[in-house]
Parts: sequence; C-alpha cells; structure tokens
Amino acid sequence: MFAPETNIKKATAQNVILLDYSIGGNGYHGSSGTVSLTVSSQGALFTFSYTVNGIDAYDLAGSVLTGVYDSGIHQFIAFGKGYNYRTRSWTSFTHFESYKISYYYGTLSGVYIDRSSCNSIGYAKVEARGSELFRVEHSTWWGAKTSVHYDYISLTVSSLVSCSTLP
Amino acid sequence: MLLSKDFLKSILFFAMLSSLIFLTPTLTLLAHEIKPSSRTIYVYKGDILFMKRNGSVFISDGFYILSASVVVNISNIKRGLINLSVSINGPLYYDPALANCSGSSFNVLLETCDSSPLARLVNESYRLTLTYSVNVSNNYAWLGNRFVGFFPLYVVPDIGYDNATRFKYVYLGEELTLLTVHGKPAPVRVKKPYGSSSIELHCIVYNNTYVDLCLLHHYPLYVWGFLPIGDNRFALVYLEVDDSMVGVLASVNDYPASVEYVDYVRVGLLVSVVALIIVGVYGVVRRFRRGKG
Repeated sequence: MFAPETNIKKATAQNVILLDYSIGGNGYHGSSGTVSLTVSSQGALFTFSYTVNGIDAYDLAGSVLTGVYDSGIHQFIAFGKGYNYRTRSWTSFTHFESYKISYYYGTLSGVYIDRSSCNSIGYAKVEARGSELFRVEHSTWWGAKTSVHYDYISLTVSSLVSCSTLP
Repeated sequence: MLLSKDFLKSILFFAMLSSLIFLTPTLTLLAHEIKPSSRTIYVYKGDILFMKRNGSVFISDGFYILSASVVVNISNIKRGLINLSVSINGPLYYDPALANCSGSSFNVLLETCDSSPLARLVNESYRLTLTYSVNVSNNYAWLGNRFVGFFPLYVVPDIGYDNATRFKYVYLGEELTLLTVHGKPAPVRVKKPYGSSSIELHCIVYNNTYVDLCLLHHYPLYVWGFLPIGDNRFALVYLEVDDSMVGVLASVNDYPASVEYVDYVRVGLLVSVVALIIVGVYGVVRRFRRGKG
C-alpha cells in the first residue's frame, strides 16, 4: 500500500516463487535508515530492506505470498504465506527520554484462490490478508511523563497467476 | 363567520409552526445519526470463510468468498430498532481441503485455514443478504429471533472517545474488552490511502474470543472474527473498510493520537532529587564561604 524501498536478496529454495510481498513500518527517533527483515514461507527465506524515518526506535512488519511451482508439470502445487516483524526500542544516554516498542498481536489470513477471472483474462488471483499491532510508549523526564499508542500495519498480499499453471 | 375563518387560519398557522419547531430537532438528530437519505452507510472489503459451530469448536464447511464486498444498508426504523441489512457479494468457492479446518479461536482459524489449488468456483457472483435488527441506543442486534449481542459491522449510537469506557458490551455471549492505557481507550493509528497521499486514522479496539474490531465513532476500520449468519452457521470474516469510505472516516477522525499520563511517584522522586541537589549545592557554597571568611 505504501511503496517501500525493497530489495530481495535471496531465495534459498529454487522451486518456491515469491508472488507478492507487503512491508510497512514506523520510525520514531533518529535519522532515517534501512532495516532488513527476513520472512520465511514454504522453506524459503526472503530478506527485504525497508527505510524507516527514525532508525533508533521503530516497528516493522512484512508478509510474503509464495507458490511452489513444479517445473515438470508446469503447475503450482501449493501456495503459502509468511510474516515476520521487528521492533527496536531506544533510551537516550542520560535516560531522560525513551521509546519502548513491543509487538502486541497480529495475524495473516489463509491463502485464498480466486479463479473467477480465468475465463475472461486467463489469470486467477491468489491472496492473503494480514495485519500487525505494535505498542509504542514514549517517555520523557526520566519516565515521569509518558504517551502510549498502538500502530496498525496492514499486510495484504495478492498476485495474479496464469490459470494454465493451476491444477 | 369571517372572524372565525381568520381564527381557524391562525390556529392552523400556529399548529404548523409549533410542529416545525418541535419536529425539526428530531429530524435533524435522525438525519445526523443515521442518514436515512443514503441507504448504504458502510462498505468493507475482505475474505469470508463459512463455518458451522459445534459447542466451542468452529468447523469450516469448505466454502469461502475471496475479496468479498460487504455493504451495510439501513432499511427502516421501528420502535427503537433499526434494520441493518448486510449484503455479502463475491465469487463463492468450495475447497475440500478447507472442510477439515476447525478450531475455537478466530485468529488461529484465520491463519491456518488455507485454500488449495483444487478450490473450485461454485458461483461467480454469489450474494448473501442478512438483515439484523439493531437497538439504536445500545447497538444490540438480533438475527431473526436469535440474539447476537453487539452488532460489529456498524455502531448505531455514536461512540465518542470520552464515553467509550462507560459502555459494557456483550458479543456472542461474552463481554467485549476495550483495549485501554491507564483507564483510557488506547488509540490505534491506521494509515489509509487518501487522494494522492495517505491519512492516519485513530480508532479504539474492542475484542473477545469471537471478534476483534477497531472503532472510530460509528465505523469499524477493521473487523476480524465470527459473524452469525443464522441456523448455527457463521461467517469467519477478515474485513477492512473499503477505500471509498476513507473520506467519511477523515471527516470524523477526532480521536486522540495517543494517551498521555504522568507518573506522580517519579515526579515526586524527581522533585526530591532536584531539592537534594539544591540543598547540597547550597551547603557546599555556605561551607566554602565560611572557609573563606
């Protein structure tokens, strides 16, 4: 939804194809910087990088949609998904100010396949919806004053695959 | 005769005037609360999995709708009850691999019930319409004669940030918990695309074993969980507000972005430390001056 700066570094299983990814995050302190996040699905690992506007304290979540493609029969034999997250808290040198960021909860729905457009465009949609919630606590005056909120990160992944590659 | 005609005219005039005076606020209130002129009041997008319930366990029957459009419409108002019809539209699928998927928690079910490449299209444009009777003052709903509890897809009474903690709601027999920080509702920040940019909306979370939703006044930004659809059947929904509704949400986006509080024990400690430092410095200065004298 919010186009990240993403660079896929490696996929360790050759027959697992990355169909789509989603990544989002919020930075709170420090200069902007790049954070890497590794997400696994169907035995494959995918590493993404994401630019947060605050490298000292941040929350970050990402999801992937994958398919296991059998090159012998030229078909997908399974689809999968995965998600992962990272948080980083920060405390100033004098302990005057701090950010405490923690994972609260999240989910990624099952993978669903929509073949309704196979007859018209020849492609089917594969999709999984997800979201993650993080608790962000910002304290100043050595913890005397605190503000708290939660960050919601939406992680929907969706892809079109040729209907001829489906059983 | 003429006099009596004028008299009747003036009575009629005052009757019309007074009815206008008394009725206008009521009509304005109704128009503000439920906008009867616009039938569609809210739209979601999401995935839906159909389930049966056996005690505390929910079992998938193998049917699902992908990228469903869920439209909430107002039908009519009668004696404190409003009819909200929920229209679920989308392609209906059947997947035998899903039929074995079961569990008692909606988030575990959401994560583990995957469809397989064997899923087949049953109905390209499936439509399911359900009408819930919702109490306009406490948002409790009935589907037919069956009591549902809190209606999760649209909240008829306006829940402001300040009054959210005053209400206790029950959904499918279990109390909903409001996520709080120091007794105040915890704001959740949700980013949504808005025009060529994006907007940060703030909502508050109600959840229990069966549902999890984040509410901004009348409007849940997302709803996960079980929605009863009658005959001991449930829709396991994963819904997010449709992007077409973001303009409406932006116009009521007045919940705070965070909860702020002061730790008075730490303030006391801080004041004590500062006082000790001042006293210490004063003592040192005095001793230094005495030494000089």
